[in-house]
Amino acid sequence: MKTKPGKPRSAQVQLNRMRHRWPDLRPRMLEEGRVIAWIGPLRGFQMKYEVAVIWEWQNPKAVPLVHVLDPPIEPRPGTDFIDLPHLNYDHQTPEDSALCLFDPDAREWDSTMLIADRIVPWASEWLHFYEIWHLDGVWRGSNAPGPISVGEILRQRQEVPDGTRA
Amino acid sequence: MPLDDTAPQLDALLLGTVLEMELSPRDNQVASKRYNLIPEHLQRPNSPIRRYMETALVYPQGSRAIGATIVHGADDDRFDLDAILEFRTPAGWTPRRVLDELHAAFEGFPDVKKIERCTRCIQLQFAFMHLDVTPMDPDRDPRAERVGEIYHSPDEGRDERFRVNPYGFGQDFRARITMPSRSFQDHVRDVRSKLQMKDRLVPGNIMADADIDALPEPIDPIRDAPQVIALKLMKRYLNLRYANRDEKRPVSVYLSKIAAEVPLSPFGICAQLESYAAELDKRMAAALETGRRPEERNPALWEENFNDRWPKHDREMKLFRMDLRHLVSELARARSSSLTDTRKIFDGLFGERVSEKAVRAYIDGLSSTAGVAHYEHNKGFVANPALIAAAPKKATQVSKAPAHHFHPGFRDK
Repeated sequence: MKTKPGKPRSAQVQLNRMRHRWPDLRPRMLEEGRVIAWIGPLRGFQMKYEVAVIWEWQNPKAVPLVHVLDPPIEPRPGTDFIDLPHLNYDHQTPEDSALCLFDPDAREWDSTMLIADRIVPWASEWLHFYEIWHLDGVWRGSNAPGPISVGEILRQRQEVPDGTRA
Repeated sequence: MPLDDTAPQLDALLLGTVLEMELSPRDNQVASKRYNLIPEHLQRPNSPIRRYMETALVYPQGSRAIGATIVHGADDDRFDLDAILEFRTPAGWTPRRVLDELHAAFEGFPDVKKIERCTRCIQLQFAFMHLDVTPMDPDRDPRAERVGEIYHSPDEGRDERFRVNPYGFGQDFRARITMPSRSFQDHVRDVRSKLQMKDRLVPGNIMADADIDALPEPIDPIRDAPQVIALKLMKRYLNLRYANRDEKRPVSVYLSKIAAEVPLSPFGICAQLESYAAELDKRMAAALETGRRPEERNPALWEENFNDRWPKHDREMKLFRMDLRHLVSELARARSSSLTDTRKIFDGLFGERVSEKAVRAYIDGLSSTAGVAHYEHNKGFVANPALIAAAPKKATQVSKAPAHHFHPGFRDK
């Protein structure tokens, strides 16, 4: 049954859809039931990564986050996590950063949408482009306007308008 | 062996590998011109066999007849092509004399670098191309279409004649091949059209450039069938495996026959190649177990044994099995490897140059424009969905995820 537009998807709907589309991503309740985590394999270029899709299901503003568990994502040699494209960057523990899969300004995600139909496929797509990025350092996925990494954001902020460093 | 699982990105790399090994459209035209020049050259006024050539017929056999031509790859960018030259045996000529006279008659063939007289054919060696011309004595009427006898004349040993029907085999092969879905064929054509295919064959002085360009070569659609793609990949792999061995490799016609007998896999090119390798391995295992060597017959002429020259020893079959198992285990490894590691695996299987180009073509073919992304249920992203729909009744479930833009940000704790 289709939910009316504008109404957040219930946990049951999300769980059902995930079970249907991604049965190998197994759900479990964390943090005293406040968080649903689907954990399981997801394809990158070809190999599978173990990922965790984390969702604070009772918070209508919460965005589902995808973390790569194994093998962990890594920066290219000679660079840092901050230079990894499209991370939801955790500056305290960068290796725990989630993937940043959509442009919030373009309203590409909201709570009326299905995690199974958007977040998970986008995460797989991210992993595919991540492997290609590792090969030659060029991100070939689609980009929201602006910098592609937090490192780039910070470097731009440090620059004064005439292009010299502050 | 996950023969029942898709590997869409590996399929794309395997396809890219095959396309990099093909003749360019221009190379195809140069090759055709050379086929067509054979009767003309042998009928020239001072040809020593001119009078026997009036009713001669030339046609492709081997890989060119079944859409499976690839660059050799082990030593250089060379294409090995084969032709049958049909003409009645002149009265009193032995097989040795037929081959010797034909060898002499090819002297002065345009652009040829070297002409070799082999035990069954004359090999015309051009830059980047060898053309083996096998003379055949056509059967007398009433004749089954294009059945005849070829000559065998080794340096040591007695002359022999063998009845063959390479044309009939080509027809049978084509009938057994299952053409893939329309979307698969369209995708292959699309990828090919975007490739910067290198022209390898130098036209030299036999024809003007304009002459070649004015003659568009009809493209054989069978070359894009997954069974034929798997055959080409196997041939390339074996070319490299046997390059530094003093051993006879499995004959192409045997490999071709088995390739056509393996049904079209609904799981894509990688699965097709794995099934093909498994089938060959099974046959070798059975032969070794029973002590009976394989005897694959030409379906168009039962007395023609494709295994008359290979294998001669158990050792050859054991070696072949080792190669097949290596191929299958490397493909299995590639199924669960990163792109960086897959590239290294492909270097080992198909050669560095071709795998580098295949990876480059794959990357260049990706669009950074936000669009609908395809994904396989319970598996993940698919860059080229047409490739996993090779079989008309596809085994996979693919859906679309809406367009989006990746975006960096700070974690809001």
